[in-house]
Amino acid sequence: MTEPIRIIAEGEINHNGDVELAKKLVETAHACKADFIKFQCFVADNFIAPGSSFLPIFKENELSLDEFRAIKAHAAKVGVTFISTASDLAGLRMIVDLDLPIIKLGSTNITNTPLLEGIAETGKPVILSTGASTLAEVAEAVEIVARGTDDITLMHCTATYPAADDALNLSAIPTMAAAFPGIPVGYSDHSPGTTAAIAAIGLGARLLEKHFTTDKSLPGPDHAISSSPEELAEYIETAHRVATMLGSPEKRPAETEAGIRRAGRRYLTAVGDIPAGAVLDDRMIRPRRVDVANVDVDALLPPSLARSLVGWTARRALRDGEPLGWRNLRPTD
Amino acid sequence: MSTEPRVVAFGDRKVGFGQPVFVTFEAGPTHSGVESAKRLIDEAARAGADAIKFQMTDPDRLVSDRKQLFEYDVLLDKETGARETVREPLYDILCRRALSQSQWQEVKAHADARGLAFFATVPFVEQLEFLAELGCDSVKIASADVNHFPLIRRAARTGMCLQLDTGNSSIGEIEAAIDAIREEGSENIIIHHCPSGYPARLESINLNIIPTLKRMFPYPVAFSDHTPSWEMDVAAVALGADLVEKTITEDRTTRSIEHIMSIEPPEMKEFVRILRDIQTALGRTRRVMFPEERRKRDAVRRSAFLARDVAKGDTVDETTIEFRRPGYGISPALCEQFFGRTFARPLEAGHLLDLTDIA
Repeated sequence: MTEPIRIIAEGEINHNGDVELAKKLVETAHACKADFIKFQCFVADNFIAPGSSFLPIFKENELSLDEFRAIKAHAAKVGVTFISTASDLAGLRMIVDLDLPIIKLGSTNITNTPLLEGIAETGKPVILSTGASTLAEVAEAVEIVARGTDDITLMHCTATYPAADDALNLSAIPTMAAAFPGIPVGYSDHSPGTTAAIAAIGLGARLLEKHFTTDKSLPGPDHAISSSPEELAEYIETAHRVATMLGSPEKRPAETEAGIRRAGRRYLTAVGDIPAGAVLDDRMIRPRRVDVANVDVDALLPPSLARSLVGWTARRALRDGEPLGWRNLRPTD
Repeated sequence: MSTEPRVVAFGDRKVGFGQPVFVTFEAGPTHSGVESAKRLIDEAARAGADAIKFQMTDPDRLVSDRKQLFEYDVLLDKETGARETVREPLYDILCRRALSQSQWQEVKAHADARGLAFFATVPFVEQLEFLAELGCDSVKIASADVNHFPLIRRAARTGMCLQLDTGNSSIGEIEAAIDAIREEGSENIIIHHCPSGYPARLESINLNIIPTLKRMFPYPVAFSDHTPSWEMDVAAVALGADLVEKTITEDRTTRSIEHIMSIEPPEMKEFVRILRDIQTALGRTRRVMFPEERRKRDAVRRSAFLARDVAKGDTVDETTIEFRRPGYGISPALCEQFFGRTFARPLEAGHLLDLTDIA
């Protein structure tokens, strides 16, 4: 089997700074069968300079360490794994204090060397998003993080919301897999719908991330461009269906093909009525489908033996269409 | 079938993904009795090999016509390479290497004492059972027996590692043989790429099959070398072979089969060393720079130096800047951003530019 698909339901700042809404997002992620619920840990004053229009937005959506503790406890109770993005060093400290199992680095931090070094120091598994970055920038980030951990996953990503079809460049997934052997490459999906996920999985992605909200009409910057619970559920179901369809790399008949393998293949049959003692020539033998329900298929001869039967003798009279088997043939004296 | 690469273990020696290349020395056709077998074991151990391999035979049963002739080349002179083609009854050849059960026990005990894994090919089920009783590490199935499912299944059921020779077989036949082994509950498998011919013709060696086998199957892939030298083994390791099997002899001019394409004791040690060096040099697939490499890299990369004396207010451009070693200052990539800006103060030719020099 191919490796199982895992899905990160990205709640980002769609909790609007409200721990109760965050808990609702946790429940939604679980109900949609996501493997992970993700938020973002940060101290807004710490990573946004005064005067930036981002500052009031992030300040409003900031959660404290204690609030994240409550979210973590809720996620554990509900049965979905809580992970978080370290948006800055203060956020990273929160993740360490919370002892979350994985640290996510967002695309816009791919060149943030102090943060990358801080993440490496924790030794925890890391997921690096690579939206809006070059291969050289990704390589530099990987090199820094690899000083602390071998457990790195790269996420191909297009860092616009929503991302347009011609900006997705999903072919970069196998490119990064080739450039970084041993590092899995997943897909952080900012495109609407499920089509990109289907292609990304086909190209080798096994970890997918999708932004979601409990309600697209809520106030806040990202709700409208996030998936609704119904869309997230469909997304996850689709991803698992694709993985099932990919199956295993072995070339073998499916179990359900057993019937057509027996009934659809051809077996050597007598052409015209053949009298007992007649020596077979190639006009008397033809591969044809037969009524497999009423014959012992294992005793029949495959078309590959057609030529080797020429010159054998019929032990008994054979009717037109009767399957040929060793039992009714003998070598010619 | 899981595609997770498997590792086969013989005691604390392992074969496969992430392991050092495993070296098997084949003494099956080249020993001439217990004492010579034991001497070859000593030499293999001294050379640093991992395993010794023999061929158990039963000439009386295997050969139906005792007069059937077998033709092979014998090396006459190591310097000139002069050779002679010899014709001899196959039965006589096989008798030279046939040992009794008690003799095999003695040889196996000697390999144990020297710390070598003991492998053997077998012609019939009786030898297979004997091999299992001996406590052998692995049984080898010859290329000719790749479709001998009854023998393969019996071998798999012994629990011994099964080394499958695959000369002359299609990829589908290899898969079918592996399926038979797995059906018996064993995944203790090594697949040998085994070009046919003694020695093998260059056109038949087909080393590119090694990566194909590694992509197709999760088991370790071995290369059985039938050429006189060891260039092919170097290439095989470079292509990912996990195990290399090479025939050894005490003297290449011995008048019997396969000595001509074997290596002698002084070369054996060199052979093992070269393969281990190749593997170390192959390194890893991901480009990772060590801190040491980074430091050295900066020494040979370039920085912006002044090509001539400049005055305050002169323009930073390609005529005022020359990129020279070492790379401890402003890199050529970064410096492009400053083209068109001006110098903050007068500076002399040859000055290593830093950021405070730019207005």
